[in-house]
Amino acid sequence: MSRQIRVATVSLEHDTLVIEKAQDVKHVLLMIDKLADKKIDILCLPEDFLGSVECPLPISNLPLRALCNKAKDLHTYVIATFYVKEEGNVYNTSFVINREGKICGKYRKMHPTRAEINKYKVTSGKQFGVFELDFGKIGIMICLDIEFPEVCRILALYGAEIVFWPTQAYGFSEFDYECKAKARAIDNGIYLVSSNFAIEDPYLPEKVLRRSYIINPCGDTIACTGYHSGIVVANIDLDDKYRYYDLVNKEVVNWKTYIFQNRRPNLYGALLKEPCIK
Amino acid sequence: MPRIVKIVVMNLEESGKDNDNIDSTYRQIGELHIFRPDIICLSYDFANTRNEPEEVTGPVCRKLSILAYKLKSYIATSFYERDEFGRYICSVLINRKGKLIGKYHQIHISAGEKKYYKLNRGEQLPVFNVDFGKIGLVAGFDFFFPEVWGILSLEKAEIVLWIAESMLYGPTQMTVETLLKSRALDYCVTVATANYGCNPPYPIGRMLRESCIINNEGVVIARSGFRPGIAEATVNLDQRKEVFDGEYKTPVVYKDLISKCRKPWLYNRITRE
Repeated sequence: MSRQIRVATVSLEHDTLVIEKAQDVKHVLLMIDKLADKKIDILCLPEDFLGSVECPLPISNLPLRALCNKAKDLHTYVIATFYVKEEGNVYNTSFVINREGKICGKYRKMHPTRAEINKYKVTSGKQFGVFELDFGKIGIMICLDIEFPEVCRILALYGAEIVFWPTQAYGFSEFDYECKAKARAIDNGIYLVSSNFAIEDPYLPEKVLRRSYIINPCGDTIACTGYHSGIVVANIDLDDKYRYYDLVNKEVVNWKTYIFQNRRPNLYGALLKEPCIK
Repeated sequence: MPRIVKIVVMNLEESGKDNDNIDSTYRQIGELHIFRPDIICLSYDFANTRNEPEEVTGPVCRKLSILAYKLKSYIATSFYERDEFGRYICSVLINRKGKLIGKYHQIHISAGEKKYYKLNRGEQLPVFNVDFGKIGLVAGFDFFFPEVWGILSLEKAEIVLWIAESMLYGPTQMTVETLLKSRALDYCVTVATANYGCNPPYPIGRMLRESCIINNEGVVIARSGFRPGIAEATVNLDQRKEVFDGEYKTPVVYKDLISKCRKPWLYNRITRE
């Protein structure tokens, strides 16, 4: 039996962050409302879509409650990422809200940027974000986490079939992060769903534009918001793995299984060494 | 003084692997002197040793040593090696004086390599010191494991040569190119790959291959095209990717920035079966 699901990702207008709408979730809820008849299974919002970096929210914040209600209304999972203050620390946290409107998981960004650490006093998370949902396992990484191929690899080793990547990153070119995102999908046989910000016209010359997209395990972009704000939905069959015909053994194999079976983890110990920077 | 390095990768003709044509391949290598290369990378098993594996003292290394000495260039390639313990895919690096300075055995063996050639797996991923910097070698199937590239990068490889044969492992041309660029971006290394080309008429529907050189910013700076030939590029190994770090606006070397953010103590799962 195939596991068909409908995945949505949002590209938010970046100006909503810097104008008075910061920490106001209404504009997000209005966008999500457009999905009411789309029967989506999971929806991802961009990193810090509430503009909360300078004023982290308590975990019992109102926007999160509003999103929980919306998730319940739409009978969908929602991934919402913002800065929260918990136990005296600030974390960049992705919350997984289930179809009943309850928080069923959270992931704290493991690799904060230098600015997050020094300026905003963000504390790193220490656990990978893999969550068992009713259709399969998902993984979450936030923004800079993508720079570390180990993160996606570990999420896939823990069984994640889709990795969500809420971010607000620009990269050094449009090509930069999209190339890395596609490589993570291919290397690990996963779907990768990014959620980022957009800019409305006019485009600024020389400015890298961002967008949100869904990449399949072959590295193909199967849905993309383009450079404007909006939502895209893709149908994904989680049982439709990236298969190829093995000419040698004359059989169809699942690429991810093939690669993972041939790994040599006992030889990868060097990856656990502490960084040594001059 | 900047470390300027001329890299040449050969996109050899696949039919050149027929025994009658291998001498012609050696002649072509000899003709590369006009490019004044610092390092030459040759396609995977160009000497067609899979049915008759050699020792490292065998004809392939002997002939390449003479050429490396004449060209005053490093040469890297791979071939099927046999020793008292069995068979391996062996990648070698020969220095400008014609001396073998390093070898590594492919550590991940594909289904075909296992089934038909009964190959043993290598156990180490060395990085080699050369007179202009540090080089890592990646052979065949090892390419598809980011862990390999991560280890070479942590050992401070600046150029990584992927000695490739084909894309018969499965992915499409697009996936291989995406991965190549991503390896360069992820690990801030120059990536050079030597593969095989073919002359027209091209068989319709068959994937064509090429050799290329990608700088440490993920940009393809030289490519051979699909036909047999070469790709050559000059890279400055001291030209590192510097960036402004967000709100601090201070230039930093990107690789250092990312390295400082790594959390290796959390990556244990990578090393578990």
